[in-house]
Amino acid sequence: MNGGPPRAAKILVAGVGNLLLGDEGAGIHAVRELARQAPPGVDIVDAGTALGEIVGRLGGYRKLILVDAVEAGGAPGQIVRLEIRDENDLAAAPLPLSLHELGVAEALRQARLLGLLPPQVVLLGVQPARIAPGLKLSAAVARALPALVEAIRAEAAQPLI
Amino acid sequence: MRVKVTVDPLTRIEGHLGIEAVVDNGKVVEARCAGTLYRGFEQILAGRDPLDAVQITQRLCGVCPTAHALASSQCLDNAFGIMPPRNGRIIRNLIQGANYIQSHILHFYHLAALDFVRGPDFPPFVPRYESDYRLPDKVSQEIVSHYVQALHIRLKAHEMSAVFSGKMPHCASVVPGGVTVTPAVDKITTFLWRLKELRDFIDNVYIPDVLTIARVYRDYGEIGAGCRRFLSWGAFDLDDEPDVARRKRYFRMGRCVGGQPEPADPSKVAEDVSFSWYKAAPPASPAVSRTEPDRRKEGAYSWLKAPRYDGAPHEVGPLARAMVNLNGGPPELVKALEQALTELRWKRENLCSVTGRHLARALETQALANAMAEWVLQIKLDEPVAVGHKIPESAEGMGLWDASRGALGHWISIRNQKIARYQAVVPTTWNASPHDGKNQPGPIEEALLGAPVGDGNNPFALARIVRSFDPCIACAVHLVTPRGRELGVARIV
Repeated sequence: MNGGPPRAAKILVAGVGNLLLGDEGAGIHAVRELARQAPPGVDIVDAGTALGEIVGRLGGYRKLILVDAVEAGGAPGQIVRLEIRDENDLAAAPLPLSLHELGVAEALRQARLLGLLPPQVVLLGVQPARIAPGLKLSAAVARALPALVEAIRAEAAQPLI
Repeated sequence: MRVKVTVDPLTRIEGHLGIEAVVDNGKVVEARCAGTLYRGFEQILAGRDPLDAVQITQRLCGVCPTAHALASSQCLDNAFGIMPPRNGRIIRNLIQGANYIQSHILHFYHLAALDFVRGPDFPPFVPRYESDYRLPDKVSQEIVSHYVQALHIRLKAHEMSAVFSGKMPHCASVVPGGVTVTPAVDKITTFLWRLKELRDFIDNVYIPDVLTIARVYRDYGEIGAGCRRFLSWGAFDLDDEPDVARRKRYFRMGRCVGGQPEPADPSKVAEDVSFSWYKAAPPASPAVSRTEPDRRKEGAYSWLKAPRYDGAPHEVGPLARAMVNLNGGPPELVKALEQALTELRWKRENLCSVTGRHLARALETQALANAMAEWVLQIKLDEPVAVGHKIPESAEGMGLWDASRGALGHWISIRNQKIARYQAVVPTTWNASPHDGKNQPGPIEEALLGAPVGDGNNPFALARIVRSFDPCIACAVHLVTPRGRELGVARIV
């Protein structure tokens, strides 16, 4: 299949998460911060809780950088980088009851099936401290946010494979 | 042992339908098919400008709105006493034809094929019934790749409609008296090159895949026969005869009963509400019938009415068109059907089956796409596309047309230049209708009788039978009323 439309930008940065659930929205906070001074050659998208809804926009890029809160067992605010070679690198979400409940792994699988998955996918995450209703980030994650944004800039500056 | 098997909601169809079957010794002995949503289009239309009907009735559905544009504009043509000029007639046909192709490919690949082909092992392809997938892995993977290709092909078909309809879904250019789009050479060529790509896909991908499934699932060429009475209003006007019964149509108007051709007379259609959630009333013609919901009605189980022709249930849709057109229909369609029967070593009655319906759908897509390539060249650039109209003080109108899913009728009464009454009898109301006053089951209910259900927790045969009809409940039921619903023992995704 085609790999999507030709794009001026080579890299897509997608923030994933739920702004209403405290640290769960870290990915969105990060891409919003990044967008104040977007790096050249990079498109930025706020995917919210519905990466599956924007699968159609993933095509045509050489690299996808996902930014999300990640449960990696580390200290709150710790930043992790995960190269996603195939979707088995991510734990599958429990079977959804509706199409509104598809997780990141399912969205990436769909993108691959549709021939729209960029050849390189990197997940940049931050270990959350508190996932509960609320608009604010925890102190630990708020402190880590500038470092997360820097990590995105560094990732986007890497030579493309 | 008698067990009740409930599939509710049945997914991978358009809209909301529940199936309840009583299974005795592994076979269905009773079946009920329930439309679980109520819509109030008849009430929405009352009191409005008649011209609104063409736009509003299209909102019955996002999958085949085009058929409502056609039936509704023909209903108004009839009420106003006008006929579109040649260009208007042809362009309407092209808009509708592109939507037929889109809808049939959608139905086969994105709704029905996964009944026979094991899809990928991740959502939304799972959960699913894990049994009776008979295709070798390689063939399954190939058809799944066609599933993906078909998404792009349907985009092309939508674009093709939009060339002449302004946009899709819900076309803007179809009006009483013809169309509002001016034909031009660039529109014709852009239409044609998309059509060429669609025809390649139909000939080389869609039809071979349907034949593969019909061969491998040979028993499904006998399962799900249904009522064996067929009705088609016909579609795609080929001349300008004002009387719809005498008008020449690419797909003919008619019936087929017991394999024999019979005429179709719209005055013999009546809507029965014995088991439907509507105020009790004797069966009445859609030209006069009312739509008054009664959600607490004793014994009722569906929001669908039960349309009957001369008191008898009739199946509508591609299989009905095939059965009607085998007697004197388009020669290339007849030839393609006969060739396929030979190839599959089928008798004609095998067409009345699950895979027979898929085959009839695929072959009419091919015949229609080929015919459209000729029609588009019959457009005359310097001729008009529409005639004017005057809204009468008072009039009655009827528009009969076959949608991709089957016989569609619109009826209007105009008083004081406004819509006094509107009634639509849509394909799935025919097919998924409940029992009637004579206790006759609807066509899908009847098709389920005798169906093999090995494991009540895994009633894939029921799903295959129902999906072969391409049910589209969005327009079949008459406002959405939330209703407490017990989840059935089976849940298909």
